[in-house]
Amino acid sequence: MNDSALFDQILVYIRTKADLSELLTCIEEFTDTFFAPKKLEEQQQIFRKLPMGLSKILVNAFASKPTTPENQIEIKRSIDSLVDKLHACKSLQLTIAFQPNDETIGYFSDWVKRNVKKDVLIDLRFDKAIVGGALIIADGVYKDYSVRKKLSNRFQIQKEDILGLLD
Amino acid sequence: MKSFQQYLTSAEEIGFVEACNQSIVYASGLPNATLQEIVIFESGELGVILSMSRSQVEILLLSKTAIKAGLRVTRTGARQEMPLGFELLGKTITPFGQPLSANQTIEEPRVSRPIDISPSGINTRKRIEQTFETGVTLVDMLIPLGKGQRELVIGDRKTGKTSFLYQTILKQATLGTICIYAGIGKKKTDIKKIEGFFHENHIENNTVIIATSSEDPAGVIYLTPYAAMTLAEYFRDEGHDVLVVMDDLFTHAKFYREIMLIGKRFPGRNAYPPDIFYTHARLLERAGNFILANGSEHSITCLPVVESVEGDIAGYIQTNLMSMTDGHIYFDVEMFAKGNRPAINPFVSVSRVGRQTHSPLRLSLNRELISFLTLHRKLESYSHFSAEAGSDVKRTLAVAERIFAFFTQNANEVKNIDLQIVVFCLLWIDYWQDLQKLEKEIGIINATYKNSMEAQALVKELISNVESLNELLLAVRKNQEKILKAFGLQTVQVTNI
Repeated sequence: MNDSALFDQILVYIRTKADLSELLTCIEEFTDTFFAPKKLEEQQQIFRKLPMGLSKILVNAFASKPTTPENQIEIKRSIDSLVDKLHACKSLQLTIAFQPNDETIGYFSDWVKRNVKKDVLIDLRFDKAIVGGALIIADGVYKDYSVRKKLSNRFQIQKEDILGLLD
Repeated sequence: MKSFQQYLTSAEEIGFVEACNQSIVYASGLPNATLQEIVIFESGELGVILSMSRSQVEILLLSKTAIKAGLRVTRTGARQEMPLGFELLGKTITPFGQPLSANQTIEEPRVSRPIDISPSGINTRKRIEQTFETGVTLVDMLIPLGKGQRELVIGDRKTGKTSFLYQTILKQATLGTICIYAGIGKKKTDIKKIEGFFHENHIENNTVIIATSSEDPAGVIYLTPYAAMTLAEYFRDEGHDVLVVMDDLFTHAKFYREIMLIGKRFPGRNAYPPDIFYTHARLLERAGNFILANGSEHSITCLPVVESVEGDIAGYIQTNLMSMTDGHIYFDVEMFAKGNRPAINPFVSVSRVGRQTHSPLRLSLNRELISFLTLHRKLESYSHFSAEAGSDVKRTLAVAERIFAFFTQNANEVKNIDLQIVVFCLLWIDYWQDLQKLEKEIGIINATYKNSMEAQALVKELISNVESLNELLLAVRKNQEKILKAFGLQTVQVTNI
């Protein structure tokens, strides 16, 4: 499997920055085994901490057969290429007013991947203070679609109306 | 000023602090930020954008508070601007137009302009034609300045540079010029002293102090002279002649070096950034004599100060500034040690445009004096053979001694140049033979002139009717009795020279 195809397959399973972080930790743990040799089973076990689909892809790609000094260089090169691509993934910071469940996260991620770009990950934040709606930060652009802002605007208009009446 | 949240809502752009190195902050985001734009951090601190790459912006902090990584930052959409207005006269302010002391309040001016702009072009400039009086006889006679001139004041520490600046500001403020003193990274006590001097001499209404103390952030100190020039341009456009004193540009260069080294710019000579010449030249080019849109002519005269080290005027910053100004006044540490006040060395000092503003009388006086002092300088090297020196040499040395006594001036004392020309003529025709008498009577003459309308009218009459020094010498000789009487001095027999 070439690097791009592998990356595309992995992307399907990575929805948020937290997922990415978890994946990178596992990959780092796996590459450490190159310097402290472990059995194939132990190496595969590292990837099994990840969701099943993702774990399968990684095991097939890097841990299907024992690492030897001959194939180690090839695997390392492939891993480095993957890690570079993963680091280059852009993130979209999404702040919402409730703690989302797994299904909601999946829904958000699918929408972003479908409508923005497939290698954009969600950096999900939770802030009750925004009351409802969402704050979106992407590439330095900040959009406030929160209920807090709408209420604040509404109060401002009402305040001006009242002050106008008093004048 | 609005809050961070308000700016964020209106700009709809955000950045995150990635790294911070003293006064330089690197932040990601802010896709549409522009150079020189002011940004605000979540903590309320301000910064200005110095440079940018595809992924990061480099921000110069305008506060001393440390910035943490991860902090949010947003654009304000504003450039570095300074509020301007006549409300600032008599005030001591920061480069952002805020009062330096918490006790002062300033009515918020309505106009504001960017602090750092390009100098105006050649089509707005005019030849310097008006004399600029400093109130210091030696300078006004030997190193004359013109309105709109940029004259570097250079000298070691404690050689009387500040006294000269005080005298010049005092003289110009009393003549109606608006004087701006830019104290760059000064000690707070020095700023207080300047405030006190302006207050004592009742010239606050024509002066503004823009000051930063050495405790201020490097970014703010760096902006001080630019802010002073912006204020000067405002007053010029309002129809006033302006004097800007920049004390001093050596300190400014050092702070600029600090900022640029922290910002990882490639260091040039003496570790100064390679664009230090451009930085200072762009600042000083904003001074000059200008024609305004309404056809009137107004000037910004600039006196940048630079400190020399152990009399070495060939330093990097010193020579840079010499080459971008229209001359320099050199305060000689050796002359200071000998007791000369002011300790200005007329042989090393230069004025490139001042002479073109002079009347024929002052030009001929200037030539005569320079040629005499040059002769004296040559003879002085033989002075230790005085026992064998001829009478002419002895006489030249004695006259020179009297001339230096005539030039002696106390700190904070300003003199009228017309009066000094007449006094010089009295000295030149050998009215004074005795040094003590000369010093005493010059004091009397100066004091009388201030209060006597008759003396003022006489001096004016003498000066206005002559074209050359010889003509004036004749007139003074002829009216000697009248002059001495007007100044309340006794008459003596005059010997011809």
